[in-house]
Amino acid sequence: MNAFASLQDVFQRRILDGGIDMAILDGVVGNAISTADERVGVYVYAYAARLVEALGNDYLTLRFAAGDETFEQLCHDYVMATPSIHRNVRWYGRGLAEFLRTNAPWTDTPAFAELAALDWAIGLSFDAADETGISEADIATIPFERWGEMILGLPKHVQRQTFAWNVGQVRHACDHAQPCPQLQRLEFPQTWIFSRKDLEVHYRALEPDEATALDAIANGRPFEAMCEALCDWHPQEAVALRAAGLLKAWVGNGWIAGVELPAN
Amino acid sequence: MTKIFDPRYAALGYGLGLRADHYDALLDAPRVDWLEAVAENYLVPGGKPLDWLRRMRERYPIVLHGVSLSIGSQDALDLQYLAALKKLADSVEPAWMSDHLCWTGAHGRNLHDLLPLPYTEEAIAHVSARVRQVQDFLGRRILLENVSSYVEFKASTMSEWEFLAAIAERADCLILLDVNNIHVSANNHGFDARDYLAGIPQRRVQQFHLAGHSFQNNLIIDTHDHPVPDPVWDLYADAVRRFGPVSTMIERDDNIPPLAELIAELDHARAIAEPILRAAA
Repeated sequence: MNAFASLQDVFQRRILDGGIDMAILDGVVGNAISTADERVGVYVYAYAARLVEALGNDYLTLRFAAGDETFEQLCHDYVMATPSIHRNVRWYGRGLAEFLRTNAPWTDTPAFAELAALDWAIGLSFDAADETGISEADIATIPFERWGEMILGLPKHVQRQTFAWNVGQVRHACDHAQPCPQLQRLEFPQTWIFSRKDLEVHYRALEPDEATALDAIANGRPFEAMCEALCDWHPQEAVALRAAGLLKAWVGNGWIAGVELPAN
Repeated sequence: MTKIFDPRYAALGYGLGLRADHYDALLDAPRVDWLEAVAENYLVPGGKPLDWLRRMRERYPIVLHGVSLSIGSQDALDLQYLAALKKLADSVEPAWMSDHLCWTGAHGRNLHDLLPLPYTEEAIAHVSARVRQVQDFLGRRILLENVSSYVEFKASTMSEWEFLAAIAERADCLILLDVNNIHVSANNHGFDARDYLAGIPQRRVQQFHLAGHSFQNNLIIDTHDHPVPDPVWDLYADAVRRFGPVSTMIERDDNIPPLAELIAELDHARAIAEPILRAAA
């Protein structure tokens, strides 16, 4: 390895280990203005501070619920465990929910991982690719006898997350500058949808039958399979009406980006 | 008469950094000639950031300023990043594109900081070759910005300004001269900022950055969280005397004030530069 590459190696090592590795200090000028240790320390401090700040921008609900001190500690733990591999700091927080789900002491507060997942879903919806939703007129071009075969596509800005904790309620309080409610496990898990309309991100809890139906669509199953899934929730005779109502609402919300029929 | 080769793009006047806090106000802002957009903020698939960038482009000339090219890294150039940058440039049609004379990580890691290089012949050769590669890829001459630094390496064999000038000439690129960064590094390393200005080739300087900073013991930290201070304005006046009508831009990334305050700072830049330029005309 040449001297140039070696210098970068030892500098990076000290930044990533939080200021432990000493090798870089031999290569840095220290003088009356400042010691080599202090000088390198500026970069060591800035690395963690910059990433924690970036996470703070991405994880508003988690910060709101955890409080500043706890939030900074959990971010710092994540930073020390997770070197960035991203050119764009926008994507650095991608693994935070999983980190909180699997690393002590954060596993003691499982709602934190769900709050992180909620925030990340909002972020994904916020700057997902621009896709024009289909209209009711597009659906009307499909012969009614072939509706069962329709494959509906969701746009990238439509994100779904299922929560066991009242994280949606926390987000509502965060949005409306209300006191943070106590974190509580829900009686039944609840699926939330995050989507973008007119450049603004919207979110709400889905009814259980709607969540099931949307699961079928997201998994690439035909409209007929979605109707079958609704049979778990509704009498046979009510399913068609409910399915048509859901489809109309989804198209109106811009949640459907495409419709295809399999080749005959 | 033989025309002297001048690689610079046409000057744009006095501009500001495009920050989300000012999107609405910038739709109808007086005396802002152009905007500098941080490229990474818009390297996203879609949504509001790109919509705002499009709207700003309808009103202002825009230049793209990157922070993660990592031109000095030992790692190979990231062609995926460059392709995304080129796609953004194709859509925005910036007046020019810039990044920093630094490295931001190695072995696939990104430290999200602008880390200094050793000022050596080896580094000049390494960086110059990569700048040429980038310019070929993007199909345009780029600008490299001098960074603020807190360390100097014992391995260095020349001054920072000799290093920057040598790379600009050898790579045939342009310079984004950050006047605040010169002031910061001059303080931190004990050199004369005027020597720095004198060592930079005039026809390579395309743009100036102005900004404020913070203090930490004897070091000055480049935080972009304060108004431009007097010593930086003084150095700016010297820079205008040496380099002439160079596009000037004020950076503010933290403690961001209302747009009117930044426009007032931009007016101050004009008030300093215009008499000097008129006297020199």
